[in-house]
Amino acid sequence: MAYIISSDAIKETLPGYDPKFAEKFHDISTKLADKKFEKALKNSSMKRVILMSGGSASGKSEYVSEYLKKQKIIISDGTSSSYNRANIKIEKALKHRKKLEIHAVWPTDFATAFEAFFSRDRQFSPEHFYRTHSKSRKTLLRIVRKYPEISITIIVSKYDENRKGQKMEFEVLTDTNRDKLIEFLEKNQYTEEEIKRSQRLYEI
Amino acid sequence: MKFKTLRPPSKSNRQVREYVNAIEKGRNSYFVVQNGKGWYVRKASIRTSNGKFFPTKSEAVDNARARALRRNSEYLVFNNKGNLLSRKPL
Repeated sequence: MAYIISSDAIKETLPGYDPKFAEKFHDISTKLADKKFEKALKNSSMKRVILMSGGSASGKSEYVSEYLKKQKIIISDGTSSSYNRANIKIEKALKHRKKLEIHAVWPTDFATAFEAFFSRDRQFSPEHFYRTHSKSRKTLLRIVRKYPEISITIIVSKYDENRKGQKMEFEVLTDTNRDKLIEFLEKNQYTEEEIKRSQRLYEI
Repeated sequence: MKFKTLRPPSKSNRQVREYVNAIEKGRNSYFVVQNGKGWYVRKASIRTSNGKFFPTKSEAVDNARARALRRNSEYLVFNNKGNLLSRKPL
């Protein structure tokens, strides 16, 4: 079974936690998650480590629960939107000679992810959505450029209300050429303002 | 770039089920959105139309409240910068 470290799961253990005010508990839960990750690197015999990447409600935890949960992996299930924090995790994982991978989950469109984001129990401001989607992609691009040895998997989460059976599915990018990957990441960068504008919540 | 579809998630996956439920709930919600001339109310899932126009915020909010109530959903009010002003019911 995977050892999954999630700041959202940690939030639920904090005294006084109320999902309606999840944002207030975010800083402390991410710090605790980072400490837990560091401890796992030191103490676990598992060699494979995966850092998840992707904005809020992009489908990361759903991907982990479906495809990674049963494998022997240490998984940091977060947005990786802070370059500094992601970089520290990478350096620590490499120092402990772990086999490090990054799996980035992107939604097919921001609007669908936004619908899931504002409707689920734990609530954050829309700014948190714009910020994590923009910065997680920016961070990923910087990491890909800095660490050519780290394996990167790009996954696209798709929701189709007209599909029979399971309405959600995942697609994985099969092209592993690094230069093409960098080009792909460069083309798929968005500023917070661009993501915000795509929701058509003002000046319509 | 080439993509490969992974096997579909299991129907018993609670996490995926909750995510899909959240999207569906979100699609039934209403947005009250400000622009230069007044306020628009539109269903969250409608992306190509501005929605119904109201000259004042209170009229727009009343409309969104009534529609949300009928669908057992919620409504979110945004200002002219796209910032969330309020959300009902919380």
